[in-house]
Amino acid sequence: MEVHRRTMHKVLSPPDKIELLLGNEAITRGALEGGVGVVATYPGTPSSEVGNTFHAVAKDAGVYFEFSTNEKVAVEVAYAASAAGARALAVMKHVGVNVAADAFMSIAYMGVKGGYVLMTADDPGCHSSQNEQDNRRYARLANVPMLEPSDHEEARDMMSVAFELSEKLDLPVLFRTTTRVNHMRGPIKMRPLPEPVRGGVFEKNNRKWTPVPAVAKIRHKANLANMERAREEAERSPFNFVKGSGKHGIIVSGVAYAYLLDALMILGLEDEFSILKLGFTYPLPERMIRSFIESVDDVLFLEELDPVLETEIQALMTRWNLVKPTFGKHDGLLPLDDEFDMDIVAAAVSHVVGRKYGRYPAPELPKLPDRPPVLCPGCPHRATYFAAKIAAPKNTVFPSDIGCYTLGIQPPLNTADLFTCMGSSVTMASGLDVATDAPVISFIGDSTFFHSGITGLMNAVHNKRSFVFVIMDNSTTAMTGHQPHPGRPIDGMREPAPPVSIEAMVKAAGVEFIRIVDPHDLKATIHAFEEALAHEGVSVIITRAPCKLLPIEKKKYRQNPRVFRVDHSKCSVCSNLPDGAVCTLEPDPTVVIQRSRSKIMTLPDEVEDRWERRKGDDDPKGSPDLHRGWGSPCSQACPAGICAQNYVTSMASGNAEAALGLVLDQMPLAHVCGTVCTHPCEDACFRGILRDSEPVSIMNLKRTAAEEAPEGARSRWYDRRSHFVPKRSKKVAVIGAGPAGLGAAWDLRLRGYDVTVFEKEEFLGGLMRSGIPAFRLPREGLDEDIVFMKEIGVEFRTGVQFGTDITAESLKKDGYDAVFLGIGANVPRHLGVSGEDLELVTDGISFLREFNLGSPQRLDGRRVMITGGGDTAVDAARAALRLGAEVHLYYRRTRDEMPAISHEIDLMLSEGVHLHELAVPSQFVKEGTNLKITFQRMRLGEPDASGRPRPVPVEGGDFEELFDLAVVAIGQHTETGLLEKQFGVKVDWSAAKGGVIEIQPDVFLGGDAVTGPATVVEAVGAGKRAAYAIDAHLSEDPLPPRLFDEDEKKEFMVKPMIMNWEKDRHRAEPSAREKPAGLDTVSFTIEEAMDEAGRCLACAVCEKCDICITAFACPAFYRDRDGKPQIDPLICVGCGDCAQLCPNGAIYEVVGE
Amino acid sequence: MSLDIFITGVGGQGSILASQVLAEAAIHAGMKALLGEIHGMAQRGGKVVSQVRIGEDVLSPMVVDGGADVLLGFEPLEAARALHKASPEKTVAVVSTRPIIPFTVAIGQGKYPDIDELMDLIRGRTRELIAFDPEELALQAGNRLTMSIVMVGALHGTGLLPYSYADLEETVRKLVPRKAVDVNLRALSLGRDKVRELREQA
Repeated sequence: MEVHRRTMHKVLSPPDKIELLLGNEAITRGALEGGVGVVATYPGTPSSEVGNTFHAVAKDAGVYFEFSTNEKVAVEVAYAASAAGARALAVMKHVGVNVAADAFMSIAYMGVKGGYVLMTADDPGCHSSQNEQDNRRYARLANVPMLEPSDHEEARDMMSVAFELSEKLDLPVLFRTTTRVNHMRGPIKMRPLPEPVRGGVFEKNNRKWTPVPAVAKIRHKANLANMERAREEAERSPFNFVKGSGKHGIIVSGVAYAYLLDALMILGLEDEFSILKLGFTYPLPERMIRSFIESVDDVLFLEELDPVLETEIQALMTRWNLVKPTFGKHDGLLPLDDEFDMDIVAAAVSHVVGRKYGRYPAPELPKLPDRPPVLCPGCPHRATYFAAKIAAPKNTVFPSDIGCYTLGIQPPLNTADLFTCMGSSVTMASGLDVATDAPVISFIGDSTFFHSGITGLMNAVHNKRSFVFVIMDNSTTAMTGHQPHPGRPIDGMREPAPPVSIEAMVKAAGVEFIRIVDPHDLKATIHAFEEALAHEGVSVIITRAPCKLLPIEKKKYRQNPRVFRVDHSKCSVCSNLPDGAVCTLEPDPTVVIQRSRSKIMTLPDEVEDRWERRKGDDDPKGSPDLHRGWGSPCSQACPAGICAQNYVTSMASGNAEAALGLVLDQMPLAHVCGTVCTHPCEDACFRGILRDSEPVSIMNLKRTAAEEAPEGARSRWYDRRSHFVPKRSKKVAVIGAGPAGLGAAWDLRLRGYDVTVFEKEEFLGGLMRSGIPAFRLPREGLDEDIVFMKEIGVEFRTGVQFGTDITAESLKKDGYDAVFLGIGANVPRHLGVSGEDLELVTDGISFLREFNLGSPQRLDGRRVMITGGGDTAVDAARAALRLGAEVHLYYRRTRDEMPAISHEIDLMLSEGVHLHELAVPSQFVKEGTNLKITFQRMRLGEPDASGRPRPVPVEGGDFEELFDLAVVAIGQHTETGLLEKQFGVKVDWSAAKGGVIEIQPDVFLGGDAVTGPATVVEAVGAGKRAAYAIDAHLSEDPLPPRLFDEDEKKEFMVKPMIMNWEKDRHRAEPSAREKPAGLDTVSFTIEEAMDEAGRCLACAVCEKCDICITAFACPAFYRDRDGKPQIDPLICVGCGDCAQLCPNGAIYEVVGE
Repeated sequence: MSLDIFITGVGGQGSILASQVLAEAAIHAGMKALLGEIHGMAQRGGKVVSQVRIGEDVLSPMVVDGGADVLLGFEPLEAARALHKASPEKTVAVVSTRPIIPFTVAIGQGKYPDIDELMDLIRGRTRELIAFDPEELALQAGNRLTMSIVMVGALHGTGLLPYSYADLEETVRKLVPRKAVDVNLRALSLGRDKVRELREQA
């Protein structure tokens, strides 16, 4: 809206002064020159500035002006004033006439007293509208006279005489403009302003003002008679005239006339054409048209949108038996849609004279990014939408309405799915609720709610619908330029006015659930949405915060600016991986939004408190490195250094490909570690530490990522990852294709080395293949994990025995610069009791190897004794069971101390293995075909070095049992003999820092061989440590280690700050998928995974976050030269939303600068 | 004959104000001017186009394709987008070199072209390209928001406007709030001088 100046508005300038006026200002001046006394409007582009100008000048001009509740109201308010003698004007955009049409149709019959004009501003080209309907049809439908200006000046001229015309004809006049006329600006020479005609007395007349059927019939006849008089007016109207005397005829109306004159001048065709310019276009001046057509050889019709003149005049020509060639839309020469321009018109006139006309050739441009309109910085609607997106289930449908908030249609908000016109949000929500099961959240603005929202709301309540209806009250009609509405304490005359309460109306409509929130309080708003979604029935949320563009708001901000800044020590930094580790995660708004939710829903005081305390505890100087304290426990706990938090949050948004990529960034065995990992991450999960809660099912989410990632995901991951691989011209040999060897080979390859893996067996995977049964670890997954390693360039040679086929010396000769020995711990430990060497006594590794790779004998009806408490013992027991045996497992401590995965022990017991606690074999004796085993009873003593209670023999507690087979599975150790033979050195185990020893120059030992038997994930971690050690050994600029040091890690193990534990759902197990025969477990479906991953509290800060830009899309943000988000202080209006939603807590308010 | 000016920019840059100043100054100088604008939804951070035609015989407010005497580009990408209005025979382009990244690019839909490439595109389609950073001058004048007046001054510096610098000064005085007159007049002269300086260098 124009800034209201203390000086007189230029629309009120004295006569003869020339002012540069916008078309809509010229129209306002015209109405004032025509003596208008009462004006009513509902704002709508391109008509809005007429109302805005009256709003500015009405008082000074002595005119009554109001912003009506809607267009129908405006038409009737103005009409009754006309009935009482006032000269009255109702103003609206084209689609507003649809709202007012009911009244207008009757007004056409009833006629007027004071002059009555309805202005419709059409929008060819849909510049600001949902359609480009041609309202010239309303003149026909209502049967009323119509004026159609071609430019701002003619608009003023026509408007100034329209009232008199209306009075003379006893008919309302339709005044039809188009966007280009409304929004062109040009000089206007002022004419005198008469006294406004404000009305006087309403003279009762039941044969005119009360169109009951009998009266309506009479008035219809009156309308028809008056329109015949109108036709005579049109015949002699100065707005209809002929220009030129060429042989080709053109009948033209509206802004096309201006284009036509330009075109004829440019083409030099002025003399070829006669132009009949029509401004008083209904009823048609038939005599004038006939004599014009008779005077020319042919006729071109130039009118935007519908071929209204063309169709009617062609019908007249038929009636007159006047045969002349015609050109226009029916012959396809001119388009039926969109607005004209000079080129379209020039092409048409050229066609008539048989010339070619080409538009000036368009330049060849590369594809330029689009720049659609967006919600302003600080717009409260953005906050409302963001909260809704966080609270709403994915399948929520968002019906919307007409206003600024329609911009919610743009990504990334995407909160306008369905709308038609004013008021459609609440009504369509009802329909969607009837016809779908999806949750429905509908949005409407305050002004639109008054306009036509309340009727739909009453309908929804009465018809027992259930959805969320959000009234976004920004205290103004924002999109059209800040007009007041019934909810505001000011009226069209700029006088104080009683505001109508939205909440009172909602309550009166029978709504039981009403929440009023400030959308800039994101937490409260998200809560309101969650509650509203849970409520059965229509729930209404009023999000109330003023438009930031309101002058008063701007002034407030100028007086009390709030400055926000991004702390780059917390923004876009990673606390889950060590410095320098590569992460290929691409920022994904739907992922980050999960983390944002956790952040917003945290109690802010709690965070502050903890943050402050940490600062105090750990670093009184407040080192910027303190963000490290926010590392997520799961990621920190992973021995292979995988960023567990973010593959979980990726799964929360259903993005399995991103999740898989995060695993591959650190190690190759996504399937394996998604299936048989000991998952220390889950033990560390903060969700699991909270009261009444269980850890997130992190491991299975990894498996789901590996299984559900789309075809080609691994290759696409490497496309991203390969950019980070340096060029090294060195070769490394890896001995052993177990998890340590594979982990080392993977990491070395990603560090740029040529890697060859030598494996003595004919298969790859080591114990993962020979030791872990297929019922636990499906071989397809293991194969996929290993085969992909070849794709990134790792070479494999099988059947090559280190120590005999190759040696460290031979490898060096073959050009290898370093050797990694990941030879594992494959030598079984013995009980050291007599009879252990009997044929019927075997070890766990051999037994499982036979089961997994050989052709194991059936053990139906046999009794098998297993001893041990680790995974090998449990696997052996379950394998024996599958061979038909009766299985007894003896363990020297109790079940609670068994190091095997607890879940596996449960499975073993449920399958029927007999567990005997506190007993260990002390002697094996062959007895016939059987084996007699003597057991020593044990009891639990004092804790040993591992913290577990030491098993102590019970005096005299021996007993004997008969078995057919015994399996001793009490652990493995490394083949030290081989090492000694090879290198002639005794290995100094104590030097094994991080599980890696350089046993001689260029030869490194790591993995189980050093640490003793460990888990797959620990072995992978050991391999990675070796890879770093080799990189540091071979290169002057090694890449950083990709694991935290143990001592470093402890510092990061800080409890995260999230405290909203009340809302936990219980940990989910996969249930939707059918378990294939013989398989222990299955992964989640994507839907299950999203649900389970949604429990993640997103404890840590993450570098791959762009939420302020990509998910919140506030225009105040820009990226600096480093690509980091920054806030432009000249654009920011200090709403503070970003500081609430930043998942890293990196945005802060600057105080006292 | 008319002087056809096609102005393009981003909502909030003040390109509409610039077009009003250009047209008002023409009226002040006793000439005719027509101005075409689009209001409403487009203003919310979207692209904004306005057209000024100065001359006694102008009838329509729209500049035809290839018909712009001046392309006044408040933002380089938007200037390139409007090149269908320009022609190598007659158009003088006065273009800001300071990009405003559309949010579509920020969220990963499309890539903002290289500024030099954009300038080459514009150069190839115009008679003369005058490119500089008007925001720098606006800040020099004392307020970044006077950038639109810098552009108006620059246009006057090309010598294409059919009215005097005094007419422009008078119009600026009339159109901007009293407190802001001085800073805007400084902006106006900085824009004018910049173009002279650039032309002398060329």
